[in-house]
Amino acid sequence: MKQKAKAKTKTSWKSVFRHWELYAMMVPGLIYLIVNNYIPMAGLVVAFKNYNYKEGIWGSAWCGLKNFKFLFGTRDAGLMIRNTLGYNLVFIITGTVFAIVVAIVLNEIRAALPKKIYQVFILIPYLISMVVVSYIAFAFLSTDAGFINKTMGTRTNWYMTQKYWPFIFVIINLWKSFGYNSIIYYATVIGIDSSLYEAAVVDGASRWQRIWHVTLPGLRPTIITMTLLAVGRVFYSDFGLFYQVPQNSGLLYDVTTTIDVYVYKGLMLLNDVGRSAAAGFFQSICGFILVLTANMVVNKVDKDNALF
Amino acid sequence: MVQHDKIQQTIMHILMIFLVLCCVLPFLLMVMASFTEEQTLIRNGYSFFPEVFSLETYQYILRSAKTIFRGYGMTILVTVIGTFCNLAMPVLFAYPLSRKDLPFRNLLSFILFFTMLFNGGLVPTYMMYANTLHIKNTIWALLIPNLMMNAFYVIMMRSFFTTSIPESLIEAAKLDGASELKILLKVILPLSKPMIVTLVLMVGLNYWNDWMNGMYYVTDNNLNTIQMILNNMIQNVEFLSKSASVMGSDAAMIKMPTVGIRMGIAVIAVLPVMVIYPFLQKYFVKGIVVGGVKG
Amino acid sequence: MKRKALAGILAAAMTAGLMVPAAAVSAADATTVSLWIPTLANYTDEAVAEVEEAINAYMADKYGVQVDLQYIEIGNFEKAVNLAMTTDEVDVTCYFTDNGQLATYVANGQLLDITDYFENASDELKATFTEPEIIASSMNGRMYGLVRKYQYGGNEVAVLNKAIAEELGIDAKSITTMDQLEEVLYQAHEAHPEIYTLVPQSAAEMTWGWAAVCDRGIGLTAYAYADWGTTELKSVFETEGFTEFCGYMSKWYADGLIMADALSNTMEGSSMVTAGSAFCTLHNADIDPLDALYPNTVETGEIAPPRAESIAIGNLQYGISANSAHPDESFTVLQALYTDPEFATMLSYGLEGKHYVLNENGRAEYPEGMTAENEPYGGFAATAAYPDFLILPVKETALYEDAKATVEAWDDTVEVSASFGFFYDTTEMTDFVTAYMNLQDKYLNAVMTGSVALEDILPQIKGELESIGFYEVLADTQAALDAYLAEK
Repeated sequence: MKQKAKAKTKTSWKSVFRHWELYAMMVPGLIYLIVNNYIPMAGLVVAFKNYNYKEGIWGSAWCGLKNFKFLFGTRDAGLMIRNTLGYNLVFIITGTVFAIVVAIVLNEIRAALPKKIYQVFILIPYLISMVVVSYIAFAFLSTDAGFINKTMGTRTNWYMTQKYWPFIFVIINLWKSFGYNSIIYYATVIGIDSSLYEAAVVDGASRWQRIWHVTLPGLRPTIITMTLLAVGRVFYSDFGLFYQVPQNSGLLYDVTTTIDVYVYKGLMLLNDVGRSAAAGFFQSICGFILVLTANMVVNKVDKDNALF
Repeated sequence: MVQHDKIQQTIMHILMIFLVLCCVLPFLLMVMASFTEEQTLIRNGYSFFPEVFSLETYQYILRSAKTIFRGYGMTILVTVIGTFCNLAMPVLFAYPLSRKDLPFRNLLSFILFFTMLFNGGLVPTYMMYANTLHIKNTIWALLIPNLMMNAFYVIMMRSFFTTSIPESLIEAAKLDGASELKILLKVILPLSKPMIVTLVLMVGLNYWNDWMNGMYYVTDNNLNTIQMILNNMIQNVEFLSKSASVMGSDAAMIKMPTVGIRMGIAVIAVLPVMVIYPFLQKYFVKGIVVGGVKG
Repeated sequence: MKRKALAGILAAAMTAGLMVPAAAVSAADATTVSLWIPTLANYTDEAVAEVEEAINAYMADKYGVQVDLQYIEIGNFEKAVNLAMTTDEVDVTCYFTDNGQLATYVANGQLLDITDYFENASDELKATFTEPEIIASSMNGRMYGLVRKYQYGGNEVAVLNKAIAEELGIDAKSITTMDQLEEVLYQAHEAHPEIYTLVPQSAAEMTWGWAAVCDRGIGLTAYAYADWGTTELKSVFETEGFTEFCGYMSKWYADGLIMADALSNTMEGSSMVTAGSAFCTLHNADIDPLDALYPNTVETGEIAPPRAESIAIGNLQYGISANSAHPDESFTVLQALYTDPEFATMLSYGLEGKHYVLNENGRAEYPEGMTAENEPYGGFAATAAYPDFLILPVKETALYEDAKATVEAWDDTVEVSASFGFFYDTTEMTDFVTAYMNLQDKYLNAVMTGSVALEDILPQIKGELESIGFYEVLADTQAALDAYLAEK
């Protein structure tokens, strides 16, 4: 037994040596990851420190979990965690479902030219930065001059009414991302082995049956990967979407404050490095645990499609 | 049956046309706003058919051509260099990962994936770039931090290599005595054109639309990109609504471009992307492969 | 070989990129002190380089130091300086304290304690600052910066569109109360329903002038307010002055006088009035006349008298970063900013003959053909960002002969906060301050623009104030204030 293990290690070291060229290729990337990601990660210790500018990262005094209290000790804690998780879950579900529907529709459409044209146009929102989206949103939602109020003859104060914003966020997020996600799923759909479809047709399957039995299972790996990646980010939010698009309107805070927005505002006020690190640390840890858990579940159910 | 099929096709076309309109019209509204005379905009509101057209916005932009076109130049430069590096480095990283026979590939994948979730936060990263590497206020500050190697793209490339490149090709090349780099350059990459083009667009877009790096690592206006110029405007508005009173009546010096002008600059910021991307679009669906391949 | 070459090139390209140092610092042996200043106007690089060179030629002889000018876009200034203060990039810098930031800077250890430097400084420097100004830049009895020499606080006026005011026969100067203003606003709204009657002074802020509202920032905190002339601390939403102000605003808003989008507004009020898209905006004023600053406008009479809130004295200061590698030289530069007119003038106005000229009266003006729009060194247009405009040549546009005497006379007439001089240590309560600021941000502009009626929302606000423990903190602050006043 022991000898066998030893032999195995030996061969693997040998094969490491044999692949030195491949490792060499990875060196620039690894250096980058070390410099950009791993060395600064040591700075995460400031999450547990009372950061003092003069003393710096290493010299500042430890303060235990005090910085985390900033996130959980306030009245707003429940609010921002609810918002962050809630929006993300809705985004993941609506985004995925909608993108899959569009991908399948694209695939089912036979006319080649319109199909191409559709693909070109649905990607336009993806190209626009959030800053620009906030301008566009204002053009629609402004009370006096907004397109919606002008067209409908109403005087809705969009930027003052909380109840609309959960829907506005979902719509904007969907608007901005569905094209891109649809294309990703569509790419998978057209990659599905056509013999599977032919077999289904031979078996007399209807369109719906084909979609249900061939297309959707074919999409499964992509759905799993995309969802796993999204799950890792559920404690993060698109700062531009929640801060710039609602014009930082105070009356909307209850529905626009996500963890990132709160931390940003707190930092603008306090320049507190320790707290921002604590918030980042919390987001990372939660994302990490979620991804590991989700990945474990996937590993149990569908081993091939797990991330690692 | 055929009738039924026709109806289905029509419904699907209607749905897609509806979606296309949803995607295009908001952008069009912004374009029209940039052509609307300012007073008309205030009085009549945003409209697809403005009562009074005006080129004032674009005349203003031409007058400030020096700033805006320098911003343009910076954006293009950063996008081109950034995109090249951001393809080269991940390709060199993704290809070995796609090789099933590579020892420690799971560990290396994990090292990569881990960076998607954890980062050191702004201040330690800032210290790294400003203090240790001294790239603050250089063009490198717009290129290197945070954008150069996105783990998601590496995962996409890896998926593409594993699913779209037959292993037998690599084996054959190896038997011919080709080195790994040669295999990558001569065998793999030519077959990966759709994926590369797709990534060029995605990566290019990241650089084109980035203002974060500029906000943190650049205080020299010479290095402003077009997105930074837009962002500066937003920040100045924020300052105006928060602390401007400390400047007393001098705060009136802060130039706040009108809504129309901001719309106009936003339009020019988006336009080149809109023009270029349809040409790359045809590679898109062939280039994206996500999932289905375990690392 | 090739394979290695590519990898090598990539690695080399990267390393090379990483190695290129930031803008090289000047050559001479003298220590270089970086000086961070926010930009309000346009500065071209050439102009800044020229001015920097001239300053350095002068500074090398006189003080043996060099200055590296860092002009930062104002919207990005606080963020940029805060980041840069984590390293030794910053030596002397401007910072704002209008939202109680001084407590934050001190709590974070960002600013150098300059008490000892100041004690050993020249008498000229010490004589520059009044007692209130020294208190305003101190925390717990230690001094952290030098306040900008500027007139205290301001009065409240309204700026009206001149054409409409003339058309309606309005005598602007006779308007001295909110009721009189109201009358004119309704008149203008009826005559010109197509434009905004009243717009916020800037973005979503109805007015910067708190003279008409209440005293704020008592004890250099962000949360303690009181009605003018009183020392009874309240939440801003419960002061009488604020309630009255908001009463007008919500009525005006409901009647369509105030722009409906006030809360998401991104424009400056005075520029809209100038352009004729709005009739009126509320405005704070001081020794400079506003109608000279904004074309096509007239200024009303004084709606509220000149007052200086607790926080208004020294709301912009200059200090030294705690991470500065050259504190001694930095203090030399800091001191020179307030005591060396030649240096200060070069820094603020630029080069004589090129960026400004002195006319036969010895007053400064733009060189022939230049205006605020095209002068390449923007300091002349925006002196408020600099430490001390009292030692500069008086501008041709000024209505006074002697800046120092005028400012002193103004400061004498200003009603200074009854609680001035009181300081309350908030450095250990940052969580509370954040929660409070969030709460205040949520409602302040909404009720001040009249978008929401204060009376409708007050119970909700009070409930939230209670839930963050506001009233306990306020009671503690009040006790400290009472003790301070009793001792005084």
